[in-house]
Amino acid sequence: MSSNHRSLTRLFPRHWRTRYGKEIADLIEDMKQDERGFRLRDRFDLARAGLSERGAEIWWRGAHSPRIVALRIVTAGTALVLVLGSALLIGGVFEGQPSPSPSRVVMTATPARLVRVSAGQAKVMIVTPARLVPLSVGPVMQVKISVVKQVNL
Amino acid sequence: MTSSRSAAQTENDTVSGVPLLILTSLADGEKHGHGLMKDIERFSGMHLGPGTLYKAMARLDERGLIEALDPDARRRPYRITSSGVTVLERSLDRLGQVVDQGRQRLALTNLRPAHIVGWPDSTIGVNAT
Repeated sequence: MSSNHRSLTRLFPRHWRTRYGKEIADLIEDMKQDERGFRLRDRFDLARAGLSERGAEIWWRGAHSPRIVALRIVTAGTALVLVLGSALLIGGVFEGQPSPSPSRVVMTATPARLVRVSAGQAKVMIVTPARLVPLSVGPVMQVKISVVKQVNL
Repeated sequence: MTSSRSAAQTENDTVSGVPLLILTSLADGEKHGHGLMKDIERFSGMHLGPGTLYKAMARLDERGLIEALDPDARRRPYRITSSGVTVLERSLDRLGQVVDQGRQRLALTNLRPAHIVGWPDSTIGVNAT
């Protein structure tokens, strides 16, 4: 078995490799001798199964091993960071979408906030003491901004 | 432990997907990994990757539905156990019911006049009320 295939089988947990490693190696050798061969798709399949078994090991088996518990904490923390980061990123993207009418922007903002509006190429910034929170609770006033040309602040 | 667990589980146990293909393939005799892969491809048209195959085989082995035999040359053959036969029969029965229902409903759907808007869907199916 080549080092490439060996590294793929190393994705499986140790006990799994001990039990099925040689059989998979033999299977790969048999597949190579077929006319079909051992394709990229099969490599992906092996990697996916290995990661899946590794995940099952972390989440469903070996529950009391300190190493497994540490892995669980790291995995859960990473997942939490990714989810929160994605939520913030998506929220920011939607918040920063340009107005459908580049010549006239009508927006609602709370007073005493920092407002940044993107409308086509024009950028208008109204500097106020605090940062704009679109869904903030409090008194709301209508601000009408007519964008005529780019304003650099 | 595996045998008692599997004996308790096989009461209402069924399989589907890849495990069903593996049990079906082993139903006519023992096979090793490569033989299973080729046989399944021949009778179902599905090519199973080595990871998918061995992952499913490991689960079936854990459940006591298949068992590994002593290696023959460098390959290790597997065979279906008596629990595996029971589970396979039950799974095929269930699958047969689904197939029958599907065919009956398709036949009724094909009889339905397509140009009539608002034809009641509840009339489709044998068990419809």
